[in-house]
Amino acid sequence: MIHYATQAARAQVARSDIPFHRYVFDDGSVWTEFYRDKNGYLLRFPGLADFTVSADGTHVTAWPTEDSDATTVEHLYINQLVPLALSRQGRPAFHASVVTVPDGAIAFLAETGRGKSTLAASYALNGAMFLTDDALIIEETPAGSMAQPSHASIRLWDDSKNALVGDEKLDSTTISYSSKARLIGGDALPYSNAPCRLLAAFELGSEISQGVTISELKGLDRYMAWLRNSFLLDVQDRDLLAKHFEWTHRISSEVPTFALDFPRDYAMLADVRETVAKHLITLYD
Amino acid sequence: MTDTKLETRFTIPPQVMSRLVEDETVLLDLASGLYFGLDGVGKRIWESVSAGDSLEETVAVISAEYDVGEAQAEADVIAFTSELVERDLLSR
Repeated sequence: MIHYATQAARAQVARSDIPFHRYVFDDGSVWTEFYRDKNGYLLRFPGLADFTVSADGTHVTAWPTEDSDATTVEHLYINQLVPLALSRQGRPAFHASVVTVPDGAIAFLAETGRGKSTLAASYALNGAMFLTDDALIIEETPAGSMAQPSHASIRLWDDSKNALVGDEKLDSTTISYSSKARLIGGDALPYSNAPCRLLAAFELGSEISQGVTISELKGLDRYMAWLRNSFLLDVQDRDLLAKHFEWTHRISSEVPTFALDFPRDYAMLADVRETVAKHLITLYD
Repeated sequence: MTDTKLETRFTIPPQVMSRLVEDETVLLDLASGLYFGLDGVGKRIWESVSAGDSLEETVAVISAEYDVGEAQAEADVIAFTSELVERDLLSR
């Protein structure tokens, strides 16, 4: 549970302290700065919003900039703050999209830009339902790792949207910092709001292969696939790091994990779905 | 360079966590937030020293299980444990 509030717009005042952690894009631009604050943390998305997070991760307050808008702030909260705050509460959170398959769900672990949202939309438009397009929250239960549903939307670049949806009318909104469209789940883009048992996870590769390839990840490779796709609010907190080490070990040991690669060609997506489906049959039959 | 005696026994510092992941061992140094992976001989040396074996006992284990001479095993074990000590993953 997170208590969320938004405040009136304010300027992002320069800070005298150095952030203890940063998310940086490949081009060097800063996406997020993590600061310690008197009551917990301050996460700064330059030009967009500040968010204060209580030390225990249970309270989040948004402080938009004048240039930001409600949709953008809501999006940042859902896709960034929720998984980070939940990680602070000790709940496992990962960069992944999740879709339903017979008897459960599968996750596509990947950093930004690897195509996990496109895959999720591709599944949802072809008979499956999506649970999340970007942040996988796992509830560990005696029955296994349960993927929790997130916001009922999928963000797609225009080329993905045009290739997958075409002229079909889907509810959508736009976000100020990105040209991605946010498609809202509904009849045409089915969304599941029920937790589903995670049957397998596929880490998306960097488009090295010529066709659709799936290979099992073992040992350290398997552990690291989950680790490098983790959300973790405070990378310097030893107690949290220790918990993170343990839950990553438990989940990576329990959920069969594979490397999945394919050319990022929209015409290949049907092959990807078919290959994954066949692979799941071999896994569970 | 520290002179290493064969009767040396190591301890795992409190800031170091380890878990077996199939046939590999993953270490986390909580102080630095860095992760390390050990497999093969490195994993076996870690198992031995973290179980409380002395260097001499670990050398015997490696020599026997990997069919290498004691001199080679001793050099390998000392080099590997020294690196772990330098990285604060083991304490003498």
